[in-house]
Amino acid sequence: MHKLTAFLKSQKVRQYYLVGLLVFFGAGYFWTPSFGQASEPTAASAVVEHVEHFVFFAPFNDPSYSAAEQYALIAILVVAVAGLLYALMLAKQVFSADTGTKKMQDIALAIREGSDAYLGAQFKRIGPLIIIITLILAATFTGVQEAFRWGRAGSFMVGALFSWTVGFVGMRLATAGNVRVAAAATRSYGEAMQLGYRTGTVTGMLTDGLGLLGGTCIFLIFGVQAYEALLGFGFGGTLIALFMRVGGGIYTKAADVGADLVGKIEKDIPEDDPRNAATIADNVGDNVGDCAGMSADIFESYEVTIVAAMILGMATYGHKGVIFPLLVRGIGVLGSIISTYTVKAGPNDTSDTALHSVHRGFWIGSMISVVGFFVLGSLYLHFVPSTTIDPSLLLRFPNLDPANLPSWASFGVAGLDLRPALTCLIGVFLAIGLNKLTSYYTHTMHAPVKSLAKACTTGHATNIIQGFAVGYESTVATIIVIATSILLSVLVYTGTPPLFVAYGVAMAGIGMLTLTGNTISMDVFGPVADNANGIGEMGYDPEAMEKQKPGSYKRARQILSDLDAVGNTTKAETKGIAIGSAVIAAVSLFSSFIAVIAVGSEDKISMMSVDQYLIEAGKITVANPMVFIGFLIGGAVPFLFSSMLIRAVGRAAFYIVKECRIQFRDIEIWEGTKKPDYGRVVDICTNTAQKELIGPGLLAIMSPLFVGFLLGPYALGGFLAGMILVGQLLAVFMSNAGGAWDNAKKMIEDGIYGGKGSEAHKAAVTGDTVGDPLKDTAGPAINPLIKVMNMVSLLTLGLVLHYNIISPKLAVGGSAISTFVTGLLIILAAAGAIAWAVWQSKRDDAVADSFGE
Amino acid sequence: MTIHYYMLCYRFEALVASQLPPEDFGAYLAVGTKKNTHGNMLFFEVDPALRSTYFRLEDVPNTCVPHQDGSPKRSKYISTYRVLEHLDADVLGKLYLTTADGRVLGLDASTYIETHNGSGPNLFQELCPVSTMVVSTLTPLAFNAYMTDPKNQVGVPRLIFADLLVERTASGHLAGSLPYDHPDHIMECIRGLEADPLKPTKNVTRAPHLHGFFRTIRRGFFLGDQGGIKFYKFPSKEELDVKYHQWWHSATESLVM
Repeated sequence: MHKLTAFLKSQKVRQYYLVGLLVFFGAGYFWTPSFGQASEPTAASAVVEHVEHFVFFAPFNDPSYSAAEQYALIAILVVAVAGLLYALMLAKQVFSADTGTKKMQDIALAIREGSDAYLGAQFKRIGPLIIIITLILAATFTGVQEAFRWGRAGSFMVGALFSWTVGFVGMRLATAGNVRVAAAATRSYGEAMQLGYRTGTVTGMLTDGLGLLGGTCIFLIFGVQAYEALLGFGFGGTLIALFMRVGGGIYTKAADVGADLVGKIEKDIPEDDPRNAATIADNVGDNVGDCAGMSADIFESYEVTIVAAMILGMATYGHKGVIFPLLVRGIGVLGSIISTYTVKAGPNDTSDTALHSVHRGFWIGSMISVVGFFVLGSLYLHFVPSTTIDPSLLLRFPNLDPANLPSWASFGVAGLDLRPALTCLIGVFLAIGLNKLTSYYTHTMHAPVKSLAKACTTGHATNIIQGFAVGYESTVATIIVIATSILLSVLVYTGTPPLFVAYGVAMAGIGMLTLTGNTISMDVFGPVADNANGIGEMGYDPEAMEKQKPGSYKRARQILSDLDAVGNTTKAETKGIAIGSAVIAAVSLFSSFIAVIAVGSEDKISMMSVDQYLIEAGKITVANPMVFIGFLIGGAVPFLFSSMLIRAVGRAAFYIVKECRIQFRDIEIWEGTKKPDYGRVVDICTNTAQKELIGPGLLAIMSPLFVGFLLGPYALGGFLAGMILVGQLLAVFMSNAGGAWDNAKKMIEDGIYGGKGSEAHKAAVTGDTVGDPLKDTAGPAINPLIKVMNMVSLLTLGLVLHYNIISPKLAVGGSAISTFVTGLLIILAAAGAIAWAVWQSKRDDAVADSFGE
Repeated sequence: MTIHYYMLCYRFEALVASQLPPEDFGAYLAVGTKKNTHGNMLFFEVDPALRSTYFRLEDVPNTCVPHQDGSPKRSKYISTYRVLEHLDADVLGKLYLTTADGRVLGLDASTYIETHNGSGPNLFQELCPVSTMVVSTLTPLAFNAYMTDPKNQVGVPRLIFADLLVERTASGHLAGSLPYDHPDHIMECIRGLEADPLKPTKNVTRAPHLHGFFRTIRRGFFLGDQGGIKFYKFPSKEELDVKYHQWWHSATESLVM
């Protein structure tokens, strides 16, 4: 038995396991078409009314697609591949750079091994779950097109695999780039900065490329009905992002808080002191949290916004409404390729000029994208309505009259409708607005953070109080910006049915994430620079460097410190986009949700009438007690979810503190003559993070099922509305308050109110410690939570409509009792899972007992 | 094993015998015992040929012996009261600065040459045998002479003190980077002193919290009495950054006093 366990744990078996899963995922994906072909019109399916004839690769077989459209779709594929090749080229540049001294390489290796171990353990835990969910998705399919049963399930697996790949590669690159940035800093500022940024760009372009490739391939395979498969694809990416965000968030903050509690507070040793056993885990945490978690998060936002846009595009503009978002994304990839390559710094630049260069890159990309999608829109968005063929085509015009289309939407060209491009522009402004807003509330240059630093001079409590005030205020400002962008989308589509407005909002999401490549480059640059600074601290040999070139040590440390500051700023700026994109995607998906209630399943959305939509939308009102109950429960879930995560951080930190204390008792470790067992703390972090992510994951998946099957579809709508609103407010509050506390501390450390070691500094450290699990664990995890709940609701809505115990829509020939029993069983299973998750999150007493040993 | 003598001068005054060399002794004081001080420590290495009629040194060779397992005796306290006044300045050698996590920096004594920079207002932190923070119009030499003057009713026979930074901004406030507890009060004291030319010193705080203490050191540490003054020059920021990086990093990152 022991031998068998050892064999199963061996490196070789683990590799085979991963390869096996990869092959399985791939097979599932490519096997789907043939399966679907085999189930083409049968006697059983032929009796279903209004079933559209489905063929694979319709864009190349259906005469309604012009040759230009077919070439455009191929061009999008080429652009996606170009993005991936660009990422490969940059990865080669990163890997060919100098890796510094042996000591630096050893530290980087320890960080890399810890990061790999974490993702490997996570993959082992999540892999089987993904397979189970795939089978459930296939088994619970309620649509009429059998091709989508496995199409949706297979796409789910591919989405999950892509999301995991983005996270894994992002983290792997970051752990390779950090030591190279530290080595480059000994030579030149520009070289170090460029290397760090390009390390991030690899992940950014991988996200762009894989996201576009996945979406386009699914569309090419499944045509205008791709939304079925796209839902699966988006759900796969979202679920993995949730796990990566939750696991990474718990890991990074548990390691950080644990290292600080023992190192800084108890032992009074500096950050990154090699005697602290949690030092390496702390650096690993930066990678698994900020690289893997954030990359997977943005990837799923990228996917979910395109899923929402394509679903709504089909229901509004037909296949042009589906292809245009893909074209916009293609332009975005091109814009990112060009603009990220322009980000450079000179050998003697400073953090200000470097930051300017990063921002300039973002602006260049934005301009390329805006010009690009207006040019594409002018060429492509031409509609010639013919009421004799289909009167519903007039719905897209204000008051059903093409003449009413305002000149700003048609530019005076008959049949041209540039409103989708205009809403994309709104999205670009939204991204910039959220960037600026986040920067205002969290940057040291502005009043909110200055006020926090000042509050530190009067004590710990005043800092906390002021932080709450700043965080709360920032949520209002963010809501106003997001609401304004939605209002603008409404205004752009004035006079048209709500589904067009929803499409406009979805296109704003597309525009917002146009520059995903740049956004992720900026985000990943943060942990890379942070790690490089740590490696410089632990791995540089000051005397040897000074002997070789006087002043070089100080200069290199200054460069790393400056880059760390730039990275902190860029990382903070991207958080606003992540949260904003979650809300925009959720609002768009909410419209899809109403549409599915109206017609019964996703594959009939294109058959929905405006009246059906309006009738169903009108039923989701707080005047309906069930909806209101759902609304209340939905609003409470983000709090419960956050509570679970914050408790998990505390629990994991306890274990780390305990281990560090044990190691510090070894006097040789204390004296610095013996190396601590870093791996032990890394293992504790990895195992606890894996264990802790199950509960919040279950809550995210099971609570919509519980509400839907217990209270019905309209209550589920209320649940989603409450969850989106509260989740957004809470996420912004936690991210911004935490960011502001963090930067207030940095501000004081830079030399105001007494600097490091002063009373004000101690108050600032308290604020930062309180804010840490908020801004890096719970806050960011709410983004995927919002989307997972939306996706689960959408994917199971067909079942909810049939099996909810309040107002079931009985299937033909179905019995009321069996329907009720089925619904009840699902409710009990969901309630049991949620109860277990809550119970799991309350194991503090047991931990406290063991801690005292 | 060699017996070393150390005179602890901050955070408390004591004469100690130990078989540990200075760096290990500093680390031991800071982190090697559960009686650790949880903060910065300062101590002098005392001439091993020390002879005294005041301290009972004759017992030391018998009591400061290795433990049964062969490990060195880490500390044998000889006296914890009025130590400084009973040791000649000549027997006090290097001054060791120990951070809270046990990093030790040794400073050699040198001759103090007073320049125009020595003029006030100066901020002095007395370390042993009293620990008052004082602003003064006196230079370090004059301050030492004043404080150890037998005619001075609040004087002491011998004094160890540090010279602290009083960098000011254009608006006359203390620089924000200085971690003093009550910067405004320091400025009030300085202004009070400037308003009264006959007053040489003014107490700021009787027992201040020395947050970020090593970051506030200006020229260095002084050990003086009526016979003269010994100066322990504090390294420049550049030297600290490069030559004593680990110590400086530990000293500047410290959250405690």
